[in-house]
Amino acid sequence: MITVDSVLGNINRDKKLKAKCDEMTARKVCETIKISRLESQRVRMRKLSDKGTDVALTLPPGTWLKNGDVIIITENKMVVVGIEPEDVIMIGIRDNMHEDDSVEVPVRVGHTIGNLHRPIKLEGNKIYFPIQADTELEMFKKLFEPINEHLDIKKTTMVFEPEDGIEIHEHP
Amino acid sequence: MSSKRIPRLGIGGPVGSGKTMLIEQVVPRLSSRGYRAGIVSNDVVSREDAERMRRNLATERGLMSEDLVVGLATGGCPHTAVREDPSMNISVVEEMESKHRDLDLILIESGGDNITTTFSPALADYFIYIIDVSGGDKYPRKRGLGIESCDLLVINKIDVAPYVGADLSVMERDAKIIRGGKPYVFVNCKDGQGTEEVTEHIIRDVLFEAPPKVVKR
Repeated sequence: MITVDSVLGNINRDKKLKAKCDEMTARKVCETIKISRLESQRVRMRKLSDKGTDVALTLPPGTWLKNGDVIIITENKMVVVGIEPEDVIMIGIRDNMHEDDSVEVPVRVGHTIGNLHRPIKLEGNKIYFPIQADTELEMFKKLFEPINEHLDIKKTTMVFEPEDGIEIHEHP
Repeated sequence: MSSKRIPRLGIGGPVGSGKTMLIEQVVPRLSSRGYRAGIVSNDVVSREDAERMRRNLATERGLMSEDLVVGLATGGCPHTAVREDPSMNISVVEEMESKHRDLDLILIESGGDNITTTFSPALADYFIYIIDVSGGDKYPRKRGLGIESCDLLVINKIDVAPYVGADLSVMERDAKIIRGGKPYVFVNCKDGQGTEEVTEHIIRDVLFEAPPKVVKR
């Protein structure tokens, strides 16, 4: 068991680490620890990497693990955190709003999602939020019926990392 | 220092599923190996569970001091006190932590609630969800955030399965599918069957097999 008490960096934010990760992946000494989004806010957990390394995480309270965080780096071993992809609904706002829709559409979208306590991820004119069951797609389509003509709604899968500051309901 | 934070274990599940009895089985097993635990018990309006555990584990069996069982009456929707706004629980846990530095583990029992109960990661490091067979063998298959996302699923009251028409092999098959490789244990909290296995999961995955802390007197 290897104990880890801090995050060393992130391969998606640090080009040098990314290069190191690529090099170690080529040498087949880069490992991944898969965690769920819910586990990403945990500071104490025990996990096995895909190559069987037993890792005990004891991180400072308040640590929020991100996809690509590096937790172990030695000459012959690198361990990177991977957040498991999950089912999400993607809502795309169409470019067909009249001036008098410009309040109603975004407010209805925000209110409906918030009312069901979902965290969101924003990307351009697209909004993503997690779902647990396929049947939720039908439910959201119904809820958005009044503004249907302005939206594209579909189910997809992604590594969901909520926007900082507007994740709902959690008070760390 | 993060490493000095006392490990926290959340136990959630519907009303009457056996959360309190599971604690009453697990705490003595941990105690026999030298591990000392504190308990925070959430209930909606009463403090009955806390009082029972205090009497059973502290007063009668002397496994812990009486102030190591704290009852919280949450009111309203009990799951909010362990998930959405765990601040009240966190402050109780931190107070226990500061008064009893030599504890190895703090258990937090949620008030009996619905299938979407989970623990805020700010409150618990590990989450056991307990259900019982009397709800029928469809229970795991019907899913829910608690059953799917918990670290250990405990299925209690296996002794009454034949009387309520619950097929344990169906529950086991469904638990395997829904849990995607994450562990589950069948138990009978009345006679203790299976609770040793639960204890072993706790020692391995919550305590990281660390030896019990040395008690300073």
